[in-house]
Amino acid sequence: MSAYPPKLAQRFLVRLVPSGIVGESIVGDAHEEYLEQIARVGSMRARLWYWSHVLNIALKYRNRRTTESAGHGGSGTALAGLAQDFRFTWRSLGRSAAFTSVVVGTLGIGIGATTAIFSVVNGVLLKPLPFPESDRLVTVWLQLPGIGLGQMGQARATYFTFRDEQRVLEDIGLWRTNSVTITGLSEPEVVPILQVTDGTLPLLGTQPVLGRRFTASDDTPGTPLTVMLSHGFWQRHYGGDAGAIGQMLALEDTQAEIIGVLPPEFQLMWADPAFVLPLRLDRSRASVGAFNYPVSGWVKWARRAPRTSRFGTSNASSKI
Amino acid sequence: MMSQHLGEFEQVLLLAILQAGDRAHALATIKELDEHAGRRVDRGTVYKTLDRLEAKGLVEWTIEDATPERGGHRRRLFTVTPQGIGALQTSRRTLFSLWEGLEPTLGGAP
Repeated sequence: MSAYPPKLAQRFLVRLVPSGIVGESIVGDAHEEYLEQIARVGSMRARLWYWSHVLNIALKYRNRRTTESAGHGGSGTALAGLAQDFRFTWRSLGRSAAFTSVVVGTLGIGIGATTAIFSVVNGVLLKPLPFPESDRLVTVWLQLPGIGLGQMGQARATYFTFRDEQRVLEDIGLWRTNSVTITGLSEPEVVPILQVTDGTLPLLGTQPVLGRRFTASDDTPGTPLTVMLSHGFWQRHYGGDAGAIGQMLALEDTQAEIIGVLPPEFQLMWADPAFVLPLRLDRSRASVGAFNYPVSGWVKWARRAPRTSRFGTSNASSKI
Repeated sequence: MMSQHLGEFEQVLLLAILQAGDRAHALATIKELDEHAGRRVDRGTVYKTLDRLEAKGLVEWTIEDATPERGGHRRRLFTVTPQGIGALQTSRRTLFSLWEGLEPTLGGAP
């Protein structure tokens, strides 16, 4: 038979009661009563009594501490109140499994829906484009209200017209997604690509991690074809070797010289290409009649000049 | 000085301390309550009420040395202060005054 109360319970009691002689006398009272309980009902029941006694004291002094901190005001009040609210909520939910399931389910659906909506809104509206000074980038669409057509893509003719005549944009670029078959590898592989005019990457502010960007010469029909690899393609097929620059890449019935490697984060809207080729538009084939196919899928990007508003850009484009 | 109004349990606890005399420690007052009022009270309520009575200035305590049967912990011996006595007297006067003339309804004194 132990003359000492359960150690854990006693340690718990010491932590709960006020410090100093007040707490000491309460712990001493408990010890004294514990010995009386042993003599009266035996050790086992005395230990149970001691635990219930500690819980009783814990309940009273926990409430007292909460009340005291509430009386002092300030952050202690708010925290004590918050903790009490949490405890009450937790106990209430614990009483009803069905209600708790409904609450948790409702919260889960609500949080999930909010997160999904925010992801879309953030990606489409709030998050800036991953390009420097992206607020100056504009998309140039065409409208033909006279024949009831709105938001059309560009044609060769409009691209050359805008590039030659406009004065409010720093530069203008045209791009489209496509796919091509690589034939120089062990097995032919169809990969997504991006085709851009020579002004597109500079106006986006994209700098190659290796080599150089396209020049007007690269974008001229009839000149040797050049290609810029995506970072992933360069890593997968060339092991990140800087010696890839200058090598030839076999594309269907032609060869393209590798002139540069794009940064790993490069992505243009939805396009995540294996590599980028120059668009090489033929000025001699540009005509107003070629408005729709095959140029309807082309999207034109431009960068507004500093201190030029979107409204001013639109007005100037309309005049052209 | 105005005497303070006492709650019902505060009143019986003060009386229990007085009944316990010069050995009025917490456990003794609990036994007095059991013997005189037939009330079995939990210890937490007693300690909390003693704290409140002390804060009101109605009780005070002295320290008794530690003993082995208390696990080496000291004990507080409570005494009722003059303010506590005044508060009890006020309570008694109030009760007597309210009881007066109600014997036909409530019966005589036990």
